[in-house]
Amino acid sequence: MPLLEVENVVKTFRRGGGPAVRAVDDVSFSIEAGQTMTLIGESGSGKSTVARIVLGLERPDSGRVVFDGQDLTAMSPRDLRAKRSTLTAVFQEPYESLNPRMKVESIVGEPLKLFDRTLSKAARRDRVVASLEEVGLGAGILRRYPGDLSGGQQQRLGIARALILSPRLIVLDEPTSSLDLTVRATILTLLKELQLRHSLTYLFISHDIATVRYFSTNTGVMYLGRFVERGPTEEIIDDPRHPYSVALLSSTLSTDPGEMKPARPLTGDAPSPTTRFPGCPLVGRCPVQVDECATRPVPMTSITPTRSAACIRVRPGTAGPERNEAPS
Amino acid sequence: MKASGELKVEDLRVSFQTAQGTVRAVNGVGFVVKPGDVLGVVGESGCGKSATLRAIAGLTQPPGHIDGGRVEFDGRELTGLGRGGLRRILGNEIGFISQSPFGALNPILSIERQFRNVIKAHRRASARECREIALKALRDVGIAGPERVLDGYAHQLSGGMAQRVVIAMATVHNPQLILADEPTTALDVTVQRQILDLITGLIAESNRSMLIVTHDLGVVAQYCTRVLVMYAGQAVEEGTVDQVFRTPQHPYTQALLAAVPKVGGEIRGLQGGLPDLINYPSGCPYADRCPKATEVCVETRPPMVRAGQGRRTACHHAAGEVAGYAAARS
Amino acid sequence: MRSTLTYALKRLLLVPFMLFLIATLSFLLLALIPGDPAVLIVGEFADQETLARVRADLGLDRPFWEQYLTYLAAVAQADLGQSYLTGTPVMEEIGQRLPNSLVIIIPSLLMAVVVGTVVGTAGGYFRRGPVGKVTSVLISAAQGVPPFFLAIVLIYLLVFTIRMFPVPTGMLYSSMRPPPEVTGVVPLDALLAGQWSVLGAITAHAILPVIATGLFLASYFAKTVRTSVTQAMATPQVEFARACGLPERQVVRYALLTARTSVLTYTAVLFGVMLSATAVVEVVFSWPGIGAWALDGVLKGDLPIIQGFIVVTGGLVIIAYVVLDVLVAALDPRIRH
Repeated sequence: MPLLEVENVVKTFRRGGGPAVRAVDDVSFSIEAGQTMTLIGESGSGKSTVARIVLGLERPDSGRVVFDGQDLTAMSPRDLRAKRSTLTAVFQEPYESLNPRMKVESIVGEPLKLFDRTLSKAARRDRVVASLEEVGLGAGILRRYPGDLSGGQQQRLGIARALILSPRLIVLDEPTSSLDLTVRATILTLLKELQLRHSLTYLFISHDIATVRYFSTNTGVMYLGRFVERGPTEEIIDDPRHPYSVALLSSTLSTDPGEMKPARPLTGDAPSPTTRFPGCPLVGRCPVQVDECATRPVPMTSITPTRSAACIRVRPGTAGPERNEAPS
Repeated sequence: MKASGELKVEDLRVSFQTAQGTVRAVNGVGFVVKPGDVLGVVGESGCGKSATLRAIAGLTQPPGHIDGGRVEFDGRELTGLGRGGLRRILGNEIGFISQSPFGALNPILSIERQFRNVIKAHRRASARECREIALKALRDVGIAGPERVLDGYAHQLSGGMAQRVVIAMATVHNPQLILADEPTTALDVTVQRQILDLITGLIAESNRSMLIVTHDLGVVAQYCTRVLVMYAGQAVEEGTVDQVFRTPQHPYTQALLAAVPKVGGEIRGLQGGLPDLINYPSGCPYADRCPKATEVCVETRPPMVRAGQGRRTACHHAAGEVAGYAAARS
Repeated sequence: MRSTLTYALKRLLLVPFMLFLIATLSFLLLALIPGDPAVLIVGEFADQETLARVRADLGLDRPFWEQYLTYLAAVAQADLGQSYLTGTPVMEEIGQRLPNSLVIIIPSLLMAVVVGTVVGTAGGYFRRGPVGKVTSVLISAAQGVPPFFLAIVLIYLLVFTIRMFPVPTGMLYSSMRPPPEVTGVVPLDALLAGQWSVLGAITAHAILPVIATGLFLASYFAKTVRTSVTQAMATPQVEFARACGLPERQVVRYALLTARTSVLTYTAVLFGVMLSATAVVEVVFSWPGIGAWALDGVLKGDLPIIQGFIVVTGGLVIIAYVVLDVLVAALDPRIRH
């Protein structure tokens, strides 16, 4: 049984009487224990909203989030809070998610204080030190403030705090995108090590394809709140089927000079998030669209037992449209 | 003298006055950008790449201060020109593309007004002529309905469109040199390539040159002809993109490339942090993180020296590394 | 343009509702204040019968909500009652005095906007040079000196020492006869009668209070403008303008455009503040304005005057804010569209 199952989740935002924005539109996926699922997409694709829904920070309009056999969306806020000890998060901006007025010891120890009141102060400190050592920080920084630390150290601190309750699932919301390349690599290797050591399950939110390949087992590609493609990471990166995935993946620049992938650009820019699409949301930007695309709804369709895509031109067992009709 | 449009930077030094002391942001950086070159200046935060770019264009703002060095463009020294002289060159012979298009464009004036101001800064033109020039410039950057864009305001544009408008404004006087500061960092990845194709296309058309500051090695690998790697305010390696990416000589360049996730490969990060930029080390700034560091590295700072055809590096131990690294990688 | 108009109409629709709130507030505020108006009117030593009669006259013996409704109905008909002490209708008094105050407030606000913008821009643009240091000292000094003190110094220097301005005894020279009463508003009546010498006298008398108030207000404008310009000069927008080779004066204009909204907001806020804060300056210059009169009313506990003052100045402030909102929207394309 998967550790996390997200089923047909929908979330609509409406700001100040304006038109509704479908931030998340019928999204489903599941993560097996010990694996990493990545949500990839551009800004406005809804990937962070999915993360917030999984964390219980946002309630979906409909759909279910089943974690460890329990439906989180049906739980009372109190039960949900208790569940939060096994479901934690690391966020993008380390500094902004850490209280600058609190010392390292209090920051990392805070979740313990909330979930285990019986713990003595000394025992709590031992757990904090153990957690700091896990992430490569020593007990020497217990009395420091986050402002004294470098960006990489701050993110390690965020990870130490997420780890202290021995969670089973950690939501990683762009944990390295504000970090420099060489620091990013240290954080990614650390996260991978921790995953092996504690058989952690990750829900990883990212827009960096190079990182995704290194990091995850399964990937869902999101566009305008919907899943357009889902499957094993390697397969999606090497052989994307949905025209949006093709464009997204071909737009990343290889660091190998002379290994330029041919561009498969979309036309124009992403539409306003309030635009409603009866058919495919990529209509108007897609290089291989047909008339039907604008009107016919496109549910996620299986290609292989582990892969599916939402494009009417992708059929089970067949190659994607970009393969047999690639523009020269 | 032949007007070449060549940019020559020598021993550039920039510092920032802070409450803690003087931060040495740029410490004696020098390089040349020849016509046709697209030089990528690459490095991590705090390496001084943006401060270098701003100093070249005379855009250093207090508390920043240019402490020394020469910036020569097209045979003229820019550092001694003063605001008025520099103004005649900026936007006219040197174009500047900034990071965030919405930061760069004025939110209150119409795009047409802003275009007119930019055009009139360097030539006499009536409002009608300005409109014609602007429409052509917008068409040249691939904007299909330029009239609508011109009559509108910045906030009505998408990120990609806004950056096209910025590029059109920056290049409306056909500058020989374009300075670009992380021109695609603020954009979505699917738009990034369109914009880079556009900018480099403008360069290739007329043998112009460009200096592009970025932290993205992919941008350098795919769009630049030459690369300058910076670390802690110093240039540590320079060469063609092929040379530097395939056979990096400086240990920092090697570390940078090792941090990029590759197909089927492992990644290696870098422990430690930048040296203290206030009490700047007298030796190699990378010494305390460098696996090859010896006593000489801590004591004397290695100068940028020739290390092969068209390439330079600043490392006491670079000699002989070339072959070894290439062998290890293949 | 059309969207600005609908926006303006929407804002205007709110005005009656907000006026109603202010009227309610002023009624509640004063109904809750201890003290018996009847005692105030007939004196502490009046007998019970007289007091009861006065209370009945004022309607104070009726239930609370009935008093409230009566009050609201009266306000709706622009009837703000009569002064307890002088018996003059409050609305009439305000109608005559408010324009006199505006003769001081509006020019001093204009002066403050102009002087403040110039000084603030210079201070922000040259903040690291001597000009920045000097403007910084000037701004702090002007903020530190209260207007009435500046007024007294100005009177001493310019009136009694070098006799450049008339003695501060109201709007007119003591020998001058007021214009024939048409509206009751002296400057307007003078204008209607074509008495230019009277208008000249008013102007001459107004200059010093305008300077005293204007300089004080200017310091606040200068401070916001300086902050806005300082921030704007460091924005990518200004950097890009420079990088395109725009002349410096245009670069400064770009920076000022971003400061415009805060200047407008300050104008509306300070207008509201000045309606009551002019009182001191009006007292010093014996100016027959609304501030000095309301202050007198407050000191004497003359409830209708206080209530009337709150309703009218509150209403003016609301209108000023609506005008502000509409102006900001009309000038900023991001809100306009």
